[in-house]
Amino acid sequence: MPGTRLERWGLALALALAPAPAAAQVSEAAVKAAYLYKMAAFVTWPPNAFASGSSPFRICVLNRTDVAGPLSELAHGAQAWGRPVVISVIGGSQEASQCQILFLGDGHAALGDSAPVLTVTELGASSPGVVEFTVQQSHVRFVIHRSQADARRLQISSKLLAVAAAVVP
Amino acid sequence: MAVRTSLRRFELPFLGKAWIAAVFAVVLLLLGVALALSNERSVANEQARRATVQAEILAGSVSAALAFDDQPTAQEYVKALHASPEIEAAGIYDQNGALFAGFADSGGPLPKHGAPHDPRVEKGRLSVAVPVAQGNLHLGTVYVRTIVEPWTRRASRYVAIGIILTLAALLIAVLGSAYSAASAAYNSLQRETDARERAETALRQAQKMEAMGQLTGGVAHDFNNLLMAASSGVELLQRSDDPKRRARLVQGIKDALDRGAKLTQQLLTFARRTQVKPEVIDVGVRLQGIRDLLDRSLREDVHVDFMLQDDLWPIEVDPAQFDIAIVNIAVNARDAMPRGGEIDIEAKNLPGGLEGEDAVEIRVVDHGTGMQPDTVEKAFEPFFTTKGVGRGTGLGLSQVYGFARAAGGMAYIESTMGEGTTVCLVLPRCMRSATQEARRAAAKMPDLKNEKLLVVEDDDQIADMLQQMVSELGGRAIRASTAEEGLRLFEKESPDGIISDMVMPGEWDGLELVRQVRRRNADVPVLLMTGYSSAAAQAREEGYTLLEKPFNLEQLARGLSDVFGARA
Repeated sequence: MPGTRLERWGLALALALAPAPAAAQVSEAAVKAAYLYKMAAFVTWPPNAFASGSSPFRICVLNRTDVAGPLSELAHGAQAWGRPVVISVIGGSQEASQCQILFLGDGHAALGDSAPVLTVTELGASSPGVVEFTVQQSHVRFVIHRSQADARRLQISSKLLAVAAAVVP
Repeated sequence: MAVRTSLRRFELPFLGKAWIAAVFAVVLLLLGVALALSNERSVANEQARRATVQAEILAGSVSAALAFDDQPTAQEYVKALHASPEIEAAGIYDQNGALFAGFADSGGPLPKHGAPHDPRVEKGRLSVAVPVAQGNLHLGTVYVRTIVEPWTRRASRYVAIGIILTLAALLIAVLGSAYSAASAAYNSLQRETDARERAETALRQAQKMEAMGQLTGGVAHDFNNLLMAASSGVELLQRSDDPKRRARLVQGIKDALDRGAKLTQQLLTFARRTQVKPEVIDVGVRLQGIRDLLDRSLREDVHVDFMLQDDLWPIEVDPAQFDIAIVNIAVNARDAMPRGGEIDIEAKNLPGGLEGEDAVEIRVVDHGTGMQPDTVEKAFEPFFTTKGVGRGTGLGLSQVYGFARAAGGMAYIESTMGEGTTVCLVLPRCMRSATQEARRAAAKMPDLKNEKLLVVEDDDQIADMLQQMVSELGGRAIRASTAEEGLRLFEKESPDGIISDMVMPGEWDGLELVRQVRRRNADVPVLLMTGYSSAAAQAREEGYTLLEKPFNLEQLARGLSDVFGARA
């Protein structure tokens, strides 16, 4: 019976993967850093998001060095959308509009509602970004706010929507 | 020997054709094998391509799940592949090559480590691994393993195709050999028919010669008599001065010569090698036509008596064969009356007498010895004869029978020992009337009105006679002794008409001469004369009027009036 066999193999797989000690060792901040980096591939920015053709692809982190550290490692020498990826740690909101991805953590930045910036916030932030991190069964997941993405003219890949913990219209 | 040779000739093309069919069958089989091999290769390629596409589709849809560590979603995508029966295992590996999600139904577990590789076949299984990427990000690998259809199952499929092919090839071979057998049979039938036709022609000729042979004695005797009459007449003519007596003698000589001419003509007609050519004839006229021949060729002590009904219906037969049949019966009747006697030839209409159809009955009755019943039974069989060696061939009555059957009628014999025999021919009535030619009244003498006629004849005596006949008819004659000279004279003198012999020394014969003349003037009247010549048929075919030698003044006059009349 295929169903039974599938379940058996599925179970075997789950057993093989579940207790992976490496997963436990990876910090939550590192996972988030990786997600931030990878999101670049699943979102399309409008052309006016970049100051010029030679502008880099900027991923900014507000006040969160724990995330900025692993992110810098990941992005070293990497490219996104044909541009070199640059990681910036910003302290104020004046540079926020220069970023393509902005991880706000729990914080807040003075950014226009229509600025083409993929804002990412932690769960419980005073004002959630386009992407909002969450944790389900000790896995880092995320919620996507469609209305915000639309306002910022960001096209989010259906593949990304498919793996989101929730999509808020 | 001839038979064996022809048999061998018969077998060779037969074998040749069978070989062609066999070669076709082999070519068909080879084509089938080639087709199967190429099919096999394309099937393998197709399978590899399909597996790669499946893997690429999975790789495309699973990228986000891999990127964001969403194992349940990845597992769901892999499960979708499970629906394809030929996919027995599929796996998703992360960028480090570690297994992320997947299943393996049979044929062993998934590989522990995943890395992209081209399609490859191992142990009857085809596997392929493609990279998972999103933009510049390398995210991992998708691995797909499919079952390659086992060799034995493929073979069994090809065996089925092979059986069909073999049957087709066999069918071709069988049809081919059947065809060649049929065509061989047809050829052999054709040869048989040809041989039979030749034999029949030979038989007809033999039958004719038999009749001729029977006649020759009588004719020679008769000829001797009339020659004697003529020569003694001439002798007496030289001695006599009495004009009355001389006139009577001349008439006697002329009669004798006329009879001789008639006899020769009949013999020539008789002996001519002709195809069977039915014509509508008047039995009475035809019988009267051979009366002299019969009278003179039988014996002096045998008298032929005709009893012919008036207004006999016409019949359609080959006239020459009809004459021969009557002569054959009469000769048998003569031989049945060693002491002489009377032969009655009767003809009458027989309404509804032949299977309900109208017919004409001709009975030849003798009052001779008669025949035994068993002899009557065999009398129509070829080569059956009661006559002594050298006297008969046994073909005579068989010709009579064959003739009657060919004409659509019948022949039978009634005989009583000591009283005589009656041979009876019943021939179907023909609804068309007989050709009027035979009854045609003698044409009136044409008046040549001093017209100039070119006479082309190599024989001086005949030429001399012809010239005199032409002047007798009121014309003037100029003579040439060869065809070439004739043409020269024609061009020089431009005569009003030409009378030419057919067979002459020189490059041209008479036919060629008249062709040349016609080329120069299509209207000039042309009369050809011939004895017995195969060229006569050709001349008739080309539409020339022919005068058969020997002929008398009246016949010449008729011939001339024909050709001059045609011009007018």
